[in-house]
Amino acid sequence: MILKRNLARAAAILTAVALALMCLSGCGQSKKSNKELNIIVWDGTWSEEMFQDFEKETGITVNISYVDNTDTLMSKLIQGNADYDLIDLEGAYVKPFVQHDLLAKIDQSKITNTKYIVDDYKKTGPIGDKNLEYTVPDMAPSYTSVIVNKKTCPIKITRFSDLANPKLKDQLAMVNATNSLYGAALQDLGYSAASTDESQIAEANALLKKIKKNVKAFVGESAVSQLESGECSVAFCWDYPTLCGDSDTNWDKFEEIPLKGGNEYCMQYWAVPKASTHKKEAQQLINFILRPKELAKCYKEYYAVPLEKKSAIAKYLPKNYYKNPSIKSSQRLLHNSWNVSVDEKQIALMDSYYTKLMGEK
Amino acid sequence: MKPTPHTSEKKSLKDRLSAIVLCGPMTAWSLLFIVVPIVILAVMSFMTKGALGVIVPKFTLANYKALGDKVYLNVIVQSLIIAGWTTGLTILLGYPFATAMARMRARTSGVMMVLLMIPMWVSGLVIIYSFVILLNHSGIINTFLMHIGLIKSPKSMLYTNFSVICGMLYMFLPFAVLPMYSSIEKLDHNLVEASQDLGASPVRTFFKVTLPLTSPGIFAAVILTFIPCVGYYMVTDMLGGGTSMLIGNLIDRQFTIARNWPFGAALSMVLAIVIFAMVGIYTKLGGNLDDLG
Repeated sequence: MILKRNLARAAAILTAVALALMCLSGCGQSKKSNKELNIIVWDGTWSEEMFQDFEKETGITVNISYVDNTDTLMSKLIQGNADYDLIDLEGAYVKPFVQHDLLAKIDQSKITNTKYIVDDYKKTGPIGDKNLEYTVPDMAPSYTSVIVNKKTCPIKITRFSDLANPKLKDQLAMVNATNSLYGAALQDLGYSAASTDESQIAEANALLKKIKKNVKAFVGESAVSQLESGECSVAFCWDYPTLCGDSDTNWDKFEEIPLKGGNEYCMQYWAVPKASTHKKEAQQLINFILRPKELAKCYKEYYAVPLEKKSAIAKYLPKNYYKNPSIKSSQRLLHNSWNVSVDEKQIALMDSYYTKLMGEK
Repeated sequence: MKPTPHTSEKKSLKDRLSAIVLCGPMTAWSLLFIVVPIVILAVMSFMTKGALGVIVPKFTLANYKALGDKVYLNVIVQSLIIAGWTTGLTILLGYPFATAMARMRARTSGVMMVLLMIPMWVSGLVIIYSFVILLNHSGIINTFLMHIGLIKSPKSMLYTNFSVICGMLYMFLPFAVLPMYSSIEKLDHNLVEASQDLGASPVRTFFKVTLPLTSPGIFAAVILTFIPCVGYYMVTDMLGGGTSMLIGNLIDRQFTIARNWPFGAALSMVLAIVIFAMVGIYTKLGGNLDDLG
């Protein structure tokens, strides 16, 4: 009896502690001075030297954190548990961030260096901010596309459903991102990648089931090693710029295929959280990063298709930078591309189908 | 001389203090990083998923009801099958190895023990990547075989059942060998000799004497291998190509892509219950928890 009572008491205490810890998790952000900016960016994109130059020029210290999951970042901002002044936001998340009133409007007149951005990239903003009131493009779009090894790929691929051809058995590497897979399948079937119609998603699932028979490896981040090692001759991934940036021997070896249903594109944007106490300085940093000379430092460190016009940035980049075929390929894909915003209903539906797809032999 | 009440009280206070000092830090650590997270998971598993992955503190049994769905049952069964195969193979391979080690001279078996422990000192991720380097199309094995003219074109070794088995065996063999070695080493050889003297063949002696006497070690090895295997998905993902979903992947997806933390917590609780049940069966059948480390 006593043991039971003690156990019950211990369980109650532990539950209370657990609930308290759940509520407190994420609290305790340190206070910062006026000369500090807390920013959160994606790893492997931005040159630290560039931020150091900003610090030297303005005397403002930049504290950098790295995004590991945009959902977590959003939850923290909703709960008021993060004091970031500038965030590097995936385009697909702009709509929910704006809907939750998490972003501050940016004074575009202060970001004069947007004049260097390629016109196509600033013609329309992301879903949820078409007029670019809350965001500023920070990277050229990257595409989820089919990459083929020109020598070893046994068939000609023009659309996503071609990946179901039995000749590709054990030749295919694929990203395991649900929205990219189901989006491409939906587009191929003539539906919208943003569809939440279960019958359409079921059809997309049936196509993916056929394609899965050819898949040698599903990859989380990158299919570069599977392509470079010769393990796979085709990949459905977002790696063409990385592949071409890795080595110029890959330039002739691999090709990025524009798909008939269009290719998914993803753009990143700078955004200033509404709760930021240093909005002016954050905008100052955005404008600094957009200086062609500064942005070029990032591209020299981490190869990427330039966000800015060739006339503005080429002089700061290595001579053969624009010979990289991924730049031309990016321009070719831009006009037949699609993207979707994160949607709770769609994620839940797709994820249950994905679990079924992967759970089946 | 009988201790006075005062001295015995003093002694017990001293004992209590030293117990607190010695056990306190470890108990606090276990409470904070083992018990509390499990309680958090348990509480979360009865909560509701809100919009955009937010956890709503509203009681529900829906997360556990969803586990009855055929899709999720398939994933759980598949994980148990893979863990079962890995456990069986590690035991089959580990038992003769442990027997050989137990029969070696102390110095040689010491060296073997160190060799066996090396994989446990290295990060699992590093081990898996080294397998990728060894087994891929342009990897060390294919390059070597082509260099000596044994094969003309690279053979597919990566993303096959072969690579998964290699990886799993390498990762879990030490967990299986150590308890079996300890059991086999303690085996009373007089009993084996008695069996042979009474006319039993070596095979009969093995099945009637050696195996039953070393079964506690085998059972401990089963527990130590099966439990981590059930939730382990890195090998199947990175060496097997991730073409099937295991319970580990499923839990990972709920906390990341699906953004359904309460359901992820319910799945984690199921996994924890399977583990506790196995340990419970082990102790009920007379197993010693010390043998599990």
